[in-house]
Amino acid sequence: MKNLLLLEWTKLKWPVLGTLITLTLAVSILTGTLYRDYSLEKDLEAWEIGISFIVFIFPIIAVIPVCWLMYYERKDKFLWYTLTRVSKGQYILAKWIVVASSSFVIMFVAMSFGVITALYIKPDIIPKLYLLDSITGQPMPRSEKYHFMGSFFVHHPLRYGLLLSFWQGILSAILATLGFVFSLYIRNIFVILTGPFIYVIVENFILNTLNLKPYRIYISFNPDSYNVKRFGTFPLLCGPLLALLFITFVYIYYRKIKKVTVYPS
Amino acid sequence: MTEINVAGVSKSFHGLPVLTNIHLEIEKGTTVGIVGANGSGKSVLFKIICGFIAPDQGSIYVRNKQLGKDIDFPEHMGVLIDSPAYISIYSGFKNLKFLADIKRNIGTDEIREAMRIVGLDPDLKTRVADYSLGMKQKLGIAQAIMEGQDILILDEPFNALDYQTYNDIKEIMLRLKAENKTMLLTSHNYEDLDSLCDVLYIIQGGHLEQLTEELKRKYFRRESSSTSLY
Repeated sequence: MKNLLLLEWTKLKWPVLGTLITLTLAVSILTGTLYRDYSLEKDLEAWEIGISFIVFIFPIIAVIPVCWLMYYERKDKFLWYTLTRVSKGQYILAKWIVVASSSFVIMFVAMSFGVITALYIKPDIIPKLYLLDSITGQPMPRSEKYHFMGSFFVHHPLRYGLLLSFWQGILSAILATLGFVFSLYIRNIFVILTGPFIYVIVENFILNTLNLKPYRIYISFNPDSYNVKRFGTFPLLCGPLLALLFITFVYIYYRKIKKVTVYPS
Repeated sequence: MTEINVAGVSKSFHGLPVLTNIHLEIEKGTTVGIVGANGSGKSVLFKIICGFIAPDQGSIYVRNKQLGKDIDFPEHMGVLIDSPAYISIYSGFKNLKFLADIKRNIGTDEIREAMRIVGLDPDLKTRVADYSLGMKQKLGIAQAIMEGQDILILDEPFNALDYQTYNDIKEIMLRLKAENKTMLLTSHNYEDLDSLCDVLYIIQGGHLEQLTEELKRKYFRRESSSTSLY
């Protein structure tokens, strides 16, 4: 298995490293610049503003660097030659592990650098606090009261940012898994690479229409204004759970109903 | 010693029989050829021997191990099935490296040597997509031999080659034969295999039979300019 993991990493390393560096630079630059037009109270808010566009396209970032390879291996029938060298299950498992973990690393590292840029690299924000603490009467940041996990966000911004980056990495890995499952059964690279993005857009639209906004995967990815006291933590897990259900559905549909084979026959 | 034993294999697709009760025994170190028209079932038989598709009836034994029971795929078997299949955006060397790195029992030197044996330049950076058909065939053979596989299953290795490449590949086959490899080859052209193989079979109507002098006279008329079956 170690050989296979190394092999898959060799195949994907340049697109993954390229995306990692580009995304890290983009997140850091956006975090270090966009906040200037806003009136902010905490440094980490600069990161939230900086990544607002990245949040929108994260399903594409999660998939494009990693999910193209299986398409080519199937299209070019390269898989024939692997059959006498390794079992199907092992080969596909190794591929999935590298795809999901690479996608996780890209998102986690880039977002973590954004957090570090917001907290330690860009100039400090000098806040003007207008909200008063009802008990002490002292000025307090609005985010402490209204932000998702406000107290943790205000008092432990580094830990908050790194934990959220980790979670964003996991969501990225889930969508990369969706792209990977598409690549196992679909012979259209456009559908493979944009399918997870389209899924997220459609999920977003349907849940908005049904007035179930807190359950969207976009909210789970960037829960800055999510009211945990009102909705609890479960809705934040719904987006990824729905995505996992959809992955299972896609897998069963192509494998059991349409009987599409991964390997050429 | 029998290396490959095809025991009563039958296969149908959508109710149409492609192979019917095929029996074939291949001894170690022999070169066996199968001729047959396009669509006669040669490739299907090869895919069954390689474990890529399962037969409807019968069994395949490779070195006395039954496919699908003792092993899923034969070990130490070099395979060239259909047209050579590579990731088109990478160079030939990189494709072979990807395959060799699955087991990591050979290094880059062995890959380069296999490419040189078949007459390919391992340093060529050209993508496989831009290779000629002859280069792809040679790369397919390099892939089949690079790990020192001692059974070679080569489906149509002479397909659509120019005269020079045809001769090059025939030369490679003769060298492999001299190295005592067990080889199973197909062609739709009888002459491709006649000088190479110890035993020749013909496959038609789903049946496999040894190509006797009588059958040769029947199917491959010498007066014809071509000895191709179809």
